[in-house]
Amino acid sequence: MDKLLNYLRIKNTVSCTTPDEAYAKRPMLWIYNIIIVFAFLAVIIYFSVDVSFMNGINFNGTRLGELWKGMCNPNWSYFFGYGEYRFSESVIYQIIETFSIAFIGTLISSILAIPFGFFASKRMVGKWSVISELLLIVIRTFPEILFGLIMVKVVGFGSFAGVAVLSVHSIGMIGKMYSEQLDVVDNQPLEALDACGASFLTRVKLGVVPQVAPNFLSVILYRFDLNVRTASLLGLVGAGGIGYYIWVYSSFGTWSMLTPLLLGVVILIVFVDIISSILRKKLL
Amino acid sequence: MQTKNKGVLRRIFHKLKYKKVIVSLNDNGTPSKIIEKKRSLWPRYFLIVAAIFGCCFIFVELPAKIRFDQISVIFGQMFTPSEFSLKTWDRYNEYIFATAIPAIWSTVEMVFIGTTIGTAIAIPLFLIASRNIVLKWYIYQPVRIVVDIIRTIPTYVLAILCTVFFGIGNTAGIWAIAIFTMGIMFKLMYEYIDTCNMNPFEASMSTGATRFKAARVALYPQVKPMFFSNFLYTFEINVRASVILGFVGAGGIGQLLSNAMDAQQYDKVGAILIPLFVVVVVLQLLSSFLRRKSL
Amino acid sequence: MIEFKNVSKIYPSGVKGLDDVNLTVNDGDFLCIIGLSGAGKSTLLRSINKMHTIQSGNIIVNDEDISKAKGKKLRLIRRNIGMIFQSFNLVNRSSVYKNVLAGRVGYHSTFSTLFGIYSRDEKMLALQSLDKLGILDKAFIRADQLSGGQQQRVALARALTQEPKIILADEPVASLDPVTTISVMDDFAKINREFGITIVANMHHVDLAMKYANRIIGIKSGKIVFDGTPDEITDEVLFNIYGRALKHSEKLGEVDDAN
Repeated sequence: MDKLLNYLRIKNTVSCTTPDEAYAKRPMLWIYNIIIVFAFLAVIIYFSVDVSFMNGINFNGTRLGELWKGMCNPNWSYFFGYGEYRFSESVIYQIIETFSIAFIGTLISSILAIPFGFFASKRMVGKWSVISELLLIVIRTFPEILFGLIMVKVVGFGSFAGVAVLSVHSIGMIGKMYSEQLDVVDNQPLEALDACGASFLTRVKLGVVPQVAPNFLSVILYRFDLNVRTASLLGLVGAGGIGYYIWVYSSFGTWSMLTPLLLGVVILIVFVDIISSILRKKLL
Repeated sequence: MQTKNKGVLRRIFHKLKYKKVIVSLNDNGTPSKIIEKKRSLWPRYFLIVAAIFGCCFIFVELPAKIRFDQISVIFGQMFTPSEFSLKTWDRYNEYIFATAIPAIWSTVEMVFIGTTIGTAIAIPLFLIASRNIVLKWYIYQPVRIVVDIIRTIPTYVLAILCTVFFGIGNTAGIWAIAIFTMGIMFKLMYEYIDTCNMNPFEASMSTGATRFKAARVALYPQVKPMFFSNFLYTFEINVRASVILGFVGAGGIGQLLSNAMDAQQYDKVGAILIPLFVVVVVLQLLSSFLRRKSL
Repeated sequence: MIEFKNVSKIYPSGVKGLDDVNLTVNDGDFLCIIGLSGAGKSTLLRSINKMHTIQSGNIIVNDEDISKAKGKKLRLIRRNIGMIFQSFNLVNRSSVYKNVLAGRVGYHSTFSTLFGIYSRDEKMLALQSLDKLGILDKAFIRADQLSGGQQQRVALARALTQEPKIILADEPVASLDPVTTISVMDDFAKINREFGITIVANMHHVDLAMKYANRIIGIKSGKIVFDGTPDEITDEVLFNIYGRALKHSEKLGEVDDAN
């Protein structure tokens, strides 16, 4: 093996006595780097042709102009909900609605995920954790939008569908993170509690919970951040939230209505980012 | 008069915040030493969370009727060929191999191209944005702020905007992925560069190199493994997110899914989901294996 | 030749780093700077290649005023000055060979550095530098897999590959054990003798300085309090520099030839 690596000038393992000998035997990795780069480029070109990338771009310059004009006079009455638009149709209402969907969904799933996470952690249940792990993987990989469409059929249009989707889908992610945290629990406090005769539940309450609680909370916060984005996404399929109107107004090209919506989304995400970093600092 | 009110208010708050704990008792049962302990904060936080929870229900209406039967109908139909679309098992399998898998492959191709383009755009940007390479804050701070704003735009909004500009089809999806990837790679890489060991950089500067040359010689070997690891991580995230692209018309497997759902052909949906699931899990395992090896 | 003319440096906090320093170093000298930590040794050394800037005075290196040089001119002067650091400052993930070649980037354009292109002569020079220091057989090993003494030798080889006229060493042996210290200092002495390269080194150990240097500078609070040959050092001089007499345990003493 070593002889092959030396021969191909990938690695040098023989010690050389003179500089000339070392120069003659030096590894020349640059040849392989160039081969890899060319292979990469070839793959990219093949892929681009395969998916007909850049075939018939209809880059609409006029649309850009219209967009810019629309961006410069956003429809403020739509944003705030006065004038010709009621408050319950305004962008601000939708922002709060999206926030609520994410909040309720994350809260419910964080509670429901506790048993799933517990049963998926090898430390706690040993070999049986595989079942729960597989279940969590399936829940996680199911595309959220598809789930959104299904939920819309089950509970009807509106925000509750979004809540249902988030509650179930987040169990997958949060459950996995719970199980990771539980796997690295420090055994010593548990042993100490066992030594003074604590029951299983007491051991969990006094030994496990104080260790994992801050990590759990930070997991929940992180997931809440992501869920706000997913909640707005679910609006696309009618599960409530701000996505629906973005879809509608952009296909009609009414930019003055689209701008308040975009502004609303950006404000919402920035707001949630700031709050979660403040809360995270307080946690630590 | 006013001082008395202040006293009452203050006493109430004090009582809410602290509670008296009896530490030791005298012989006849009267407390001899009492300390004041701060009350636990958890009930307070719980109340706040519950209050927000309650408020949320103002905005979210509960459904009038939940049709649980639909769940079993839909999921039941996903994995068997139904009478309405694919009528036989043969056609079901054929659908998987002839339609679903090629569509998934072309989605993966799109994601690969998009990730590469996004990374290529991100490279010069994160080099400018790292405090270790560029010292002047008025250069690196604006770049960070601008890209941060781009990053707050959710993926699907980017996809919708791209379909506006590039027309419906694969091109829009690739550009959407490229912009999204640029945001992620940018943030991951500049944060990493800021924590790199600058000693060899200083040594290189002392031999008479420009900052750029010193960065190439001293920082690039440290950054290279992290760069590839982040590329794989972003690629994996993008494959998961690519389903959304099809729903807004930007190409990919989402298109097939959306059509099948609209036509209520749930067996097609199931036929698409199975290979999709396999691909995502395999990619995840592959990427975590490769990332562990390089680091 | 290095000349300091009325050089002063004041830190923003008001502390005086260098206080009216006047100094001349001739070609081929082996100069050691001794003094307490924080007395100004590093400041003096690093201002020679403008890693620290000075507020007043001039520093002339090889007939060029480095204290006023900027940009390309500064880089050209720095090319001729090599520097050795206490923590070796090698690129850990790269091989020793690549680390030593990195000393030549001052002679290349951005393009050839970007792709790592060096001429055949430079590669031979790098390998010869490694050979002179006796670590040629470690040439293609990752730099962080070597011992401390070997890593410092790699740093020395990197400095040699620059073909410098001056080598600055900022406490080069402070993180090495006593036996390795002696062998690395022997290498410094060999370079000084065989190639005529001026060496300016910061030292903690006074007796090391006295053994290897042909000129010693003592610094206290930014001022030079001693400038002369090792023979002229008396206990009184050391008392002046360090504020008290050195105990016997604080001297490096004789090192037995272990293994």
